[in-house]
Amino acid sequence: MKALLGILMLSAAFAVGTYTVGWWAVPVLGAAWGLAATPDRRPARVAGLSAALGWCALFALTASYGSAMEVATAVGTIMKAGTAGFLALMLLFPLALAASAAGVTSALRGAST
Amino acid sequence: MRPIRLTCSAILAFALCWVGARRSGPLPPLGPLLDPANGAVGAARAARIPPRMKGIVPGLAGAVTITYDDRAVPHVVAGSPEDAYRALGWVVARDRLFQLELQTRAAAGTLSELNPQLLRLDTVARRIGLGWAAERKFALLKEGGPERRSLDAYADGVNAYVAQMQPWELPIEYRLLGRLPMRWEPKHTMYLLSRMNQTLSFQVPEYSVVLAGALVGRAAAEQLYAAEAPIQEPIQPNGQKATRFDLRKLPPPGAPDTAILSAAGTVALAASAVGGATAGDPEWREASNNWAVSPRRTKHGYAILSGDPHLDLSLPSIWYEAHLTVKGELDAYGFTFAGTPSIVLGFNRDVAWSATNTGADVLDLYRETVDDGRHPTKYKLDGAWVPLEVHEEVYRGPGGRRLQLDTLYFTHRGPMRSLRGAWVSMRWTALDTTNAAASIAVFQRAQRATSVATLMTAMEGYVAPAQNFIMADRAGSIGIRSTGRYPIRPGNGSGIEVRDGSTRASDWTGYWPLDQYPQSVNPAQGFLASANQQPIDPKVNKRYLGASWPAPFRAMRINQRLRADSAWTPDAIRRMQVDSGSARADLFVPEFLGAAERLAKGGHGAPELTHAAALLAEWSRSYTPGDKRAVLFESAMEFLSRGVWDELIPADSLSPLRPPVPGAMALARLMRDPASPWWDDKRTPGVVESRDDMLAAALVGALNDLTKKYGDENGEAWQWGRRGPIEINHLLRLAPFGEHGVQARSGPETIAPRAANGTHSSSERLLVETGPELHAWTTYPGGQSGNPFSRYYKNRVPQWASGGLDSALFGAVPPNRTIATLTLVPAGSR
Repeated sequence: MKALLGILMLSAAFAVGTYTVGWWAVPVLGAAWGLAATPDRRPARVAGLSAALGWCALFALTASYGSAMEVATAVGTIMKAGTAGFLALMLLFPLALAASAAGVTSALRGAST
Repeated sequence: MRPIRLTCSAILAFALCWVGARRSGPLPPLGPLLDPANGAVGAARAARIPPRMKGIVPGLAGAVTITYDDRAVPHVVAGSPEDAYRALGWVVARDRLFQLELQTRAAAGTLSELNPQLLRLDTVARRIGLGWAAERKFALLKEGGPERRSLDAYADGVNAYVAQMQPWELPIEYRLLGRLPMRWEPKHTMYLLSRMNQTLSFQVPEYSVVLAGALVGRAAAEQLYAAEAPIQEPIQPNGQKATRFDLRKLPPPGAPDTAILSAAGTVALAASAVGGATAGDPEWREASNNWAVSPRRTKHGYAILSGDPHLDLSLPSIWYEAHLTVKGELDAYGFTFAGTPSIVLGFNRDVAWSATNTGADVLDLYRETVDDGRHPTKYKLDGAWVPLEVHEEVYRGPGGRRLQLDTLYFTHRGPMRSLRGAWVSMRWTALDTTNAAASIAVFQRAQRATSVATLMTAMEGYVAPAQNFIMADRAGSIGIRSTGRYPIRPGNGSGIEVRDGSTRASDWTGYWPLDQYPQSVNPAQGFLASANQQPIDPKVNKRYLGASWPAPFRAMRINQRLRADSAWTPDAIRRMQVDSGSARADLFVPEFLGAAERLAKGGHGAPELTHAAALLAEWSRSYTPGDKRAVLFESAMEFLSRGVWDELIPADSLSPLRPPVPGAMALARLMRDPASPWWDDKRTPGVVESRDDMLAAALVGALNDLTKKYGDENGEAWQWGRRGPIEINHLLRLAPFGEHGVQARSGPETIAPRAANGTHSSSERLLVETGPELHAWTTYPGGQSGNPFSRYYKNRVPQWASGGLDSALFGAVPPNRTIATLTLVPAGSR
């Protein structure tokens, strides 16, 4: 339960960070989480999952204003990735970015301790 | 394990940050694109118009209120004209920011910075001097003068919006290109006007005549692309009650003119080098209609004006609808271009106006003598060497990388290019800097005109692109004037030759005096109309004005209908705006049917010809989407054209000296000469074809071809709507953002036109009934918003396609029709 709460809070941090300062919040928060979390808490996985969830929430928020799925379909078509491809990319990008950033700092932290 | 994990994580994190922040091949930076709050999907959020908005605009003298009506048209109420233009800049930027930038780049020749594949367009724009002229004209605007102040104010509005725009409001095109908006400079309006000149007046009639002359002799070539239209339905009424036909025989094809072969090469290359312009197939392009009816021919006793400019269609549309009000000074409604601080076509309480393209010849070519054939620094003029203006141009791609270098040369006439060792310069009214302010001032004055007479006065300084401005006022006057600056050439006055540039004696000697412009006010016939046809009947005035006149089929149809009724109502005019009947079909269908009948009587009528003729005879000569015979006529006309003009196909299939296909006017003249050598198909040696043979062959060929492609002649595949739909492309040709396969009543050379594969048609429709109470209706194939996900992006397309119009709200917007209000306040206000 505590872990789930942590993921949710981290997800919220990713969402708020992205909303306010943009996508750079993802590697920065991921890296910060990697430094803050102990290795047994699997910081890379948690960061990746939380970032993806945070972006998912942001997408839902944007969709509440209007035709976000239409945008996804159009951009997916233009990128020749399709709707699903675009949505997958939208989730995989923060997931991989946050996880790799957390992985780097987590490994560095482990090396220094 | 740990070092490996660290290394892998670091590489992955770095790579993702890289593709997140930088372009990767064709992909834009992924971070800002995928960001679900501020990235591409933010377009969904930006599609909404919040009911209450506020903005701060530096330079405003007072608060400006903007009310958006339920068609998303902004009604601006300001305290001064400059404040109104600031507000206009803001609302246009809010709705059309990317369009503003793209149009400016098209004229400046910097599209390649968005996409390197657009480099060719950039070289054309720079070589024909669009940016060069815009910069020079802007520099001549008086600092602090009304025109300059209006451009500054407009730029203030645009830039204030951009500065206060939220990240998710960035137009999606910028996200897809991985760019941010450029700063809007006041001079960019001049770029936009340059761009309109390229669209509307960059025509080189020399091209057709010289190229064809090289193949069939000058005498024949001049008649194939005759400067005088053989069917006269002029803009300035010629006193005749019907179309005047002067279908004299065409001279037969002559021997190739080797003397002008070198000149032909020069002109062909000149035309392609400076812009690829041709005068070919003119009736398929640059079409527009307008007409006005006097009170005595209308049911309600008030003058009615119809405006219908035809342009390449795009999403968002080139037009933006707005209403500008400044108490006691300005109350104008209509269409503006994104980037122009005024209503361009529209109306006020007293007078309405619209325009069609005149198509006058305002561009000439000159052979120049230079001091160095490879790197010239001077050109010869009246025996002296005159320094050239030389510009080194750098074309850049995305990220600023250098794509290409180019050296541009300018004589006192304009841009000069080298072509196979020959140097050719160009003079074009669009590049002239005399009266530079006029292109801004005339529309701002027009907004305040109070009658046809004052509107004509307001437009007197207008230079380019030449337009047939039609007008109607509340007192019941109607008027039209082909307004622009028309050069007077030395010698025979013709513009269809490349002149010797080494002497000033070749230069233009002046411009037409205003009283000789094609024009008319309150003519006896009770109506006025223009559809890009030759403006003055050469029987009235033979002075050369141009040679790229489209066939007057639309004018014939318009005038035929206007003559036939004396109780016009706005609704009847609305229906006429989408009339799909065809004077072209009325002229040529009987020729096909007559040929089939004559051949049958002579015992040469094959069953398939009889069948094809029967199918064509079924046709109503109207281009409705469900019609299944229009496609046969169009195909037959294509077959005929290909068969008849084979003399104009160079023996060397790779030769660049390929003249454009002569238009329908030449074909109409040829119909009067059944045994003309032009009819003979050179590809059938030993057989001499006549007119009827060729007409029959074209009709049968069309039927066979269509049957092969689309099956049974009664099948749905033959429907005109499927063969000739309207295509409205997005500005970047992004398919999901376009509107495709639009079914509309329109055809080639009908009043409601369809040209250039369906991408060219009516760009907006305006209908105004003047009188004590003004009533106006508008539509256009698009919507106010440039956001593809806004409900106002293409919401008017179905209405436009069906020929419908919306009533324009000219006055205070009632609460039940208000969707949003925007208040703009000066910087420092709360």
